[in-house]
Amino acid sequence: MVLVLLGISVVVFVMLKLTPGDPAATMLGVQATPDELARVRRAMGLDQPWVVQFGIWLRNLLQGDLGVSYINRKPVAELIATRFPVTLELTIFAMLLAAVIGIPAGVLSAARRYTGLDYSITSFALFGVSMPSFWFGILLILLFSLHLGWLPASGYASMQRGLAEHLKHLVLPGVSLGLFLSGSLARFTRSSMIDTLAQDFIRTGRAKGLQERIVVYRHALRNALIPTVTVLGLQFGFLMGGAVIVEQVFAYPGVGWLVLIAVSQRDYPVVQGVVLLVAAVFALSNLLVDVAYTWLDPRIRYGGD
Amino acid sequence: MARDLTATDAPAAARQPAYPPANGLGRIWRPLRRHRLAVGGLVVITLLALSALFADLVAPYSPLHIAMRERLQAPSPRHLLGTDDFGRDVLSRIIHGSRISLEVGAIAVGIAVAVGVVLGVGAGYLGGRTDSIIMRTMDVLLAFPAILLAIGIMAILGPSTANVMIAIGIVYIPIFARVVRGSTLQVKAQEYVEAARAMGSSDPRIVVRHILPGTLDTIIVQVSLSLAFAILAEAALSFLGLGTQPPTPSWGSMLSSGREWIERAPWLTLFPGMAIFVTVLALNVIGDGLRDALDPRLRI
Repeated sequence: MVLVLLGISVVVFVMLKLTPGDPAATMLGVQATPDELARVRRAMGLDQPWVVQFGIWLRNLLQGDLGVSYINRKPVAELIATRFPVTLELTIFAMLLAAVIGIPAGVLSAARRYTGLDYSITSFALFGVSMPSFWFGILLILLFSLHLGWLPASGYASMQRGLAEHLKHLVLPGVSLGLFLSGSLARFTRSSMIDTLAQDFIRTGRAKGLQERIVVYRHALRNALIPTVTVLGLQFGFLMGGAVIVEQVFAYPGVGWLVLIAVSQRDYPVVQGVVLLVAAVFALSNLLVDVAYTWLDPRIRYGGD
Repeated sequence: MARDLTATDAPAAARQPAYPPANGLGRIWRPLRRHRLAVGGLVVITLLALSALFADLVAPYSPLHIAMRERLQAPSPRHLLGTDDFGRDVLSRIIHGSRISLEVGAIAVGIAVAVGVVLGVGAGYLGGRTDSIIMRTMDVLLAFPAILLAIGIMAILGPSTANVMIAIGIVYIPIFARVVRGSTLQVKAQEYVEAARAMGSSDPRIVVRHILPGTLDTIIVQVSLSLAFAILAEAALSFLGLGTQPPTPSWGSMLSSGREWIERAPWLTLFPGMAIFVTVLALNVIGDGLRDALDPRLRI
């Protein structure tokens, strides 16, 4: 885990170093004299070897210092801190939505295998995993905002404007972001349930005369959910990646919106900061999944690796 | 469970390839044919590939021809899918856009396969320190959400179609490395590999004649699923303005510029989006079909 985090920071640092342009020149602008450039480069530590620069960068990082935006000179950590809760809420909303739709759909589909219901659910799931989120978002805007006028087409409302207004702005981005995951969760839960239903202990349960309902929902579901929980946890990071696109569609002011503006303005410290943060959240959610795994399934124990 | 003939069932004769190359395609095609959806997907992708290949002949107009007097026209017999804000024919642009999508998909996945297979076979076959160094590096790359890593790489490389191919290719390398390593470990443990080694085959020979054919099924399934992702990612990056640049027609950038006219000319966003959706759907059903046909153990 620590190694992965260290690896992530090495990759992000190398990215920062590979980006074209001289940060000192970017900060000073075109009219800077060579003397000024040299002075700023020294002050920023850019005349040091890469390894030393990495050490300094890592030390600052551990103290929560992600550098300063080239554009508005604000600390990157501060910029991200104001945007991150917005993205986090959107991601969690999408994830809950996907879990509430995808998992029961997958279970039903497996329990009623090869019926009309199963075919409808598997078709929905296939539709979900093939739909580009940005197009789905636009279709939702067309229908619910422009045509029906029920929900706002874009923007964000803070809690100060009331809970109802806040949620109204959250619904469409949340649904666009959650669709893919609900489809892939339904597919995954279905195949995991089918695997479990084919196992010996299920046959034993049926043989001793248990009701089918109890066999499916008590015995099979519990076992089938273990891999599903893993997938759900792993998908958290992918959702944060997908949020970048969805935030762009709905002009939703989260870290995704921030990173895209930063990319277009070549504001690299901000880009690196967001990439680093999302990767760290991703790594942490994977760790939580591992912990949840041993708790859900006592048969699994991790040895010292 | 009945499985079609794969490397595991092949006789232990060292000098024979794992399966006869002559019926290599038939081996995939026979079980796949029964999967009707997958055949439908294959038809869609074939048509798409043909229209991409012969775009100049199929498209009714030039994708770049500007006719301001005909701008923002709704679909009509003259312009089947309408015209955009420069009066360009949407259908022609979608047909030419399929070139970009398929090209980026094929080359990006090609990069990922080429590098990923070498790393995966290397890690799995050599084991030990090489294995841990390669796989830990792959773990680090996998620690970034795919699309965000692609955006980060695009920020360094700058926006262009060629760079999109590189970015998506890099993002998918660890996935191929991981699955290929897994099946390399499986094939390596087979008796016929042991037999080949006992008969004095060299390492490169064992890898080329036995390990690679044995991992082929896994690679094929992964390729079809990765193509779907690559096409989606190219569209997303172009939509975000980081990929293919206007005026070159790409489905993602058409969708993005059509957004301005969403109320007056909804066909500008509907049709390019439909093209992306249908292509990705077709690739996904082919992927599902291949997985069922070749490797029942693989799940999503």
